[in-house]
Amino acid sequence: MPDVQRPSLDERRRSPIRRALVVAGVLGALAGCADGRVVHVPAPGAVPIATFQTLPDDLARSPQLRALQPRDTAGIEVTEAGADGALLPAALDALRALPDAPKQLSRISIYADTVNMTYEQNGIAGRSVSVLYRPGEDLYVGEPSFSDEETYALDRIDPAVPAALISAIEARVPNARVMRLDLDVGLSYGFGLVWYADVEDARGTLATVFADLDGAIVAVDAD
Amino acid sequence: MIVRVFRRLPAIVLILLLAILTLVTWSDLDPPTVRVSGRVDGLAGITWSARVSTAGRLAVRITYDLGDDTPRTLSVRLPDGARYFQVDGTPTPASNGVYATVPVATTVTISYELPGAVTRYRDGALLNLARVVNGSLDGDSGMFPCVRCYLEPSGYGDVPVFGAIAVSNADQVRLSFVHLSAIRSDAATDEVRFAGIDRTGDDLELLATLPADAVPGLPMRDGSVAQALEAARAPVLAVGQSFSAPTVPEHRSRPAVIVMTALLAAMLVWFVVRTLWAVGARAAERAARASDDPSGVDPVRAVRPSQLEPALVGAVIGNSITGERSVVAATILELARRKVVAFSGNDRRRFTLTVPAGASGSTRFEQAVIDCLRAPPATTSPSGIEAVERVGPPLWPDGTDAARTLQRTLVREALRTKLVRISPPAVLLVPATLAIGVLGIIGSRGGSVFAWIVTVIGTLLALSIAIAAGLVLTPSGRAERDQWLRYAMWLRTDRANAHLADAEPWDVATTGEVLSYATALGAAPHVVRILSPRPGASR
Repeated sequence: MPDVQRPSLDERRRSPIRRALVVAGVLGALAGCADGRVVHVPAPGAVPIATFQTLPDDLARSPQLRALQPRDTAGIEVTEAGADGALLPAALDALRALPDAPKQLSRISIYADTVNMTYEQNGIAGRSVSVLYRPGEDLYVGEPSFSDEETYALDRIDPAVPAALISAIEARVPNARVMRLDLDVGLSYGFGLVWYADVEDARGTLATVFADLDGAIVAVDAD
Repeated sequence: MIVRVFRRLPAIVLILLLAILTLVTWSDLDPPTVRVSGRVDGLAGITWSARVSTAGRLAVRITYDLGDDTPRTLSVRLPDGARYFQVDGTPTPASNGVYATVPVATTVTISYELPGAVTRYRDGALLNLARVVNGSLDGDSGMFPCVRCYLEPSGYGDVPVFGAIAVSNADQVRLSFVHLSAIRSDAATDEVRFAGIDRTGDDLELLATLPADAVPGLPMRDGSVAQALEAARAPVLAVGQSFSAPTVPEHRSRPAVIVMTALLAAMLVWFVVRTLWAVGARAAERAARASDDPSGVDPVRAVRPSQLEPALVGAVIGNSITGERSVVAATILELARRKVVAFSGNDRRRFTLTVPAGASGSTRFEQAVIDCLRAPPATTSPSGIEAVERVGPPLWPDGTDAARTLQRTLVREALRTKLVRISPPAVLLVPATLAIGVLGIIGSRGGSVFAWIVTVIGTLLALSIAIAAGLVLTPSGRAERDQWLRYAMWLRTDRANAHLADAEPWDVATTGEVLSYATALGAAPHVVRILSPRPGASR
């Protein structure tokens, strides 16, 4: 490992006489300590160290949810039905039952009564197939088309997370609904692969909530 | 006075050299103090800290100390992917996950986690908070973004930056910064701390190499951390930026410097005590001389104080008197007086000294002188050692060798008779000097040239001092010296002894033992010039 700590050659080659003079400077600088103009390395433990967030048992207690503040909507509730996270387990089961047996997805979008999904067909990069799941109906499977969207493994998805996430968000802002929940690299910003929850109240879009695949709410983007 | 100072010059030089080395080594323990030359108004300092988990997660905390309570607005710029963003401990929304605007006063603390900043390799890990985007350094991806741009302190000046990284085996962490200068750091096993100055209120970037076992839970990537570090540095350097590392102490061992200082102090004490003692002794001598009646005859001075042989008299007198004197010449005279050896002729330009076959001294030094006069070894006849005749001048063609041999013998005799003793401090001077030099060398990074020079020169000086001051008079030796000094004074100053100055060696037959002692005490220079193995430098 290169020793980037090494001081410059000039610094190492300071003459002994010069360094002896530095001693006088050090002694003189002691007086300067009193005026607060001397910068010292902090004492051990003096600098408060950052801490890590932990995933709560109940997503409703996610600390980052506190960034989501309800707005005054003059008592007007959202009349549209919000996204139904409970649809996802059945939707994924239906997807897995397809003859293609998809392994890689590029999109999941959960709405009030449907789940849209796009998968990579037969492991061929760029060959994507969109499917629409509606409870009680056969899975609609579209024609293959080209897509250069980044994919992710189907196995990474915990189907129970969307319902818990929607429940936690709506518990925090009772006058708002999660209208749509997406899992799409393109909608994950710089967070990697995260759930993208579009939260709306009677005034319109309230915020976007980003959550890890395990449900950990990592950021809130409020307009 | 000048002579005495000159005699002490080696000791003075030695002490000075060792003192400078010790001072320099102390200064090397701690890099020069960092001072804020002109603090910017509206920003008293920034404290940045991070924690790296064993899984490679990075949590960051930045506190801006505004230095006043003027309400202002902070435009927060977060690195891409920053999560769990909080302001003063309160989770806060950020536009697109990276932009936020918050009102601030007095202090404000920004915290977040940043995945992907730490990568692990087979021999270490790299914390990378220095990225180049579109041909320029991306300040938002650094430790903190441009302070001047987003916090807008008034005026220009230094911004002190303090920081710490909590990580396992933090003492193995190596830091390098962009835009941070006058960096100092310290480390324990659980955190590495640093301080420096952001001279322009600019963004700060950091590359830190961590030990591999600090992030065992992080997947290992191909390559080495050195390669990763170079790969991370290259684009930063390519856009004209440079890295600065903490100034590290030139000397790493404080206990070593403490030992150096203790040794130097001991030496200094010894020199001071010795000098004070010498000054006191001289003052006492002067007082004693002043109390003597100059007009009267001191019976003590006029009578030989003891039966001490002339050579040992010369040994105890040492440098207390000046003038040409020789213990060897004095011993030859004493042998001649007792007819152990004999002079033939009375012409100083050509005379013969005969050492009979059976000649032997009554003391070891006398015997040594006889042996030296016989050298090279006389041929041995069936009846024993043959007689030797030495024709002079010069009496000692091999004078230097003989003088060296006889000097050793005289020292041994003086030690055996307990007139002198070895001075432990003087003997310890050489190892102490060596120890100070070596401690100065071994603790320094890459070896200190100055410490090497001091070690070599100091040891030689210490050696010369030890040789000169290694033997000191015992109490009985001092008593003898005091008595013999008075006798020497009488020999050298009394009119009745004026003839001794011009006496010839063979005059001992008529003058008697007083000439032998006069030769040893500097009252018979003429004899010394004829008989000494080192005329002119003889004692």
